[in-house]
Amino acid sequence: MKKLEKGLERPAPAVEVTHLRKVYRKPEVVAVDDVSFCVDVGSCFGLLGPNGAGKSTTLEIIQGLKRPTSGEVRIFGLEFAREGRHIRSRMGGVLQENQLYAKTKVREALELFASFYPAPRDIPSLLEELDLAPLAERFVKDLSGGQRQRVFLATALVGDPDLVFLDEPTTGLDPSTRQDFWRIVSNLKSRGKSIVLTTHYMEEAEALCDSLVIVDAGRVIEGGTPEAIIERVMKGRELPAAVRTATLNDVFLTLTGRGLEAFR
Amino acid sequence: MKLSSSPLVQFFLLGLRGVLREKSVVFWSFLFPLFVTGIFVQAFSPSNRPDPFRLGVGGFAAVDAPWLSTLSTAEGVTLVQVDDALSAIPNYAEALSRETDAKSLPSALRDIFFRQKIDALLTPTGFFSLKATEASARDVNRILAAKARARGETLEIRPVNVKGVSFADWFAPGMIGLTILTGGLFGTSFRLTSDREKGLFRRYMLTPFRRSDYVLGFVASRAVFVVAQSVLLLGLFRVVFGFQVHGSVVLFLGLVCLGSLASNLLGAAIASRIQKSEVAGGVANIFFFPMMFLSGVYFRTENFPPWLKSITDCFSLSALNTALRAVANEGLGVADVSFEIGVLVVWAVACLALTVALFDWGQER
Repeated sequence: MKKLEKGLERPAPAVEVTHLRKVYRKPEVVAVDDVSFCVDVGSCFGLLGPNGAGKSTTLEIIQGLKRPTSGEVRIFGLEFAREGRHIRSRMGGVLQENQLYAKTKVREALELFASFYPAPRDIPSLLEELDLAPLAERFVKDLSGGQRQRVFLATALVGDPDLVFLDEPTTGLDPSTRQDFWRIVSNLKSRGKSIVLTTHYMEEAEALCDSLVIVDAGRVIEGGTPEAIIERVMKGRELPAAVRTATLNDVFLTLTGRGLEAFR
Repeated sequence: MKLSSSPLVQFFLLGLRGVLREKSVVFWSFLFPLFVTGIFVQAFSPSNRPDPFRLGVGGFAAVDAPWLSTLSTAEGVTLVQVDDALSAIPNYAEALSRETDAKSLPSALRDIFFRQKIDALLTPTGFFSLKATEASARDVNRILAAKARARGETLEIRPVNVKGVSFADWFAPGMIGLTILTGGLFGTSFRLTSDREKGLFRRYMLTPFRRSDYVLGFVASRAVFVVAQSVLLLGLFRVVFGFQVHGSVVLFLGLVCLGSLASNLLGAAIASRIQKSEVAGGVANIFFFPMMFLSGVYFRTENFPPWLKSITDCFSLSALNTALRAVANEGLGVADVSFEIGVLVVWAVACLALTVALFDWGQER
């Protein structure tokens, strides 16, 4: 806990990343280069950037799947090395590439993941919340891409986590399904969950994130709320005639000379 | 806490469903062992000889004519007259008495056996056969009995072994053992590698799941399935081949369980570091083929050279087959198969230790 001047204790942030660095050997690649940020409890935080920027590597280090070369990660003020099991009981995640057993029913998959947690959600109500109730007895292999993504999200939420990680959750989904996903994430936020998501869709970051960092080649090149970033970077710059208001794509283009759109 | 909400139970159910929901399991687990056993029993069961015993007879005039007459009507015997062929071979009697190896016989004499396709040769000086088999011993008995009847004598022929083991009785436990090994080696190694390939371990690592729950739940599900499979196979073998367990069925199934544990943990050890499921099958073959051919599944291993036998006796499948046969065919108990149980326990413990030390759960090491 951090003590404020007036003697009040501020709760530890959901995620605190300090000077994170990840270097792969043979060949030597700096995947994450001195990344630092904080995620407030109850907020949605985004890592925005093109493919290969280091977003997923950063997320995997935070989730405890990879070890940093240097730097520190704390989840609710705790370290993985000492409190790994406790941290995992408070978090849930959707990986960039997800799979479940093809011949498992949706309900069975949720029962499996629910069994890992001390106080899981009620599965029927979770299925209702994610519009999965009609699919409860269907095999995972028989679901569409959008339905499957919702099942993956359900497995991440079944433990009633305080912190949810979403790694490129809407990649490959049609716009309508993507909008449904945004609605679900917004509901999570309204229930006080902390969310960390990675995306290369700038409109997704603008729609969902309370604050974000823009990542390119492993480094944070900008950070803050979407509005503040746009204001700060695009102030006084000339925009193409067809564009009335600047977007995060414009920000990325200004900062790097490349558009986020080019990396889809 | 409800039992079904335990992660160990959930992994157990997951493992069981994974097997039961594969349609090919029905064929490989039940029909294939039955089919292979049927083929081998038909091919190698000595009681199945479609052709009558062909007995070459030479030197007619000197042989007891009434005996020959009785012999010619004996069931399952066909007399083949080789008088002329024998008379053309000088000192044939001496050669037959002297040589113990067919290759050492004069070629003309060898020709009589092979060209005339006779199973044995009866001459005034003796009875000569190139086939030292149980079948030819029975035929000899038949010939002697015919001789005795011709002379008005009652000759009671009693086989030396009153309680014998049919080929089916001998073969069935080995086929059960092989089925257990196949499921454990290939089923488990493929399943675990496939889970890793799909990223399921990385997904589990985001949760507070216990690794031991995954391994124990999966291995337990396989063991339960294998015991159920063995019970059904025992029933099928009983109906089709008359096979039965003469010893304790509980001990037999306990050995099945232990064999399953050893095989599944060997499969898990194989899958510890492999990233591709195709590679898992290849590595499993390194263990599978030597065991399949050298563990007494298809033929006895008592005639192996001592150095080879000392190696193959340590195979998990050898221990399992020997123990299953000891209980099923000879009705032996736990104390009599303690060595084999020890071998299986050593395999299980060693493979578990390897798995614990080496298993790749998707976390960066």
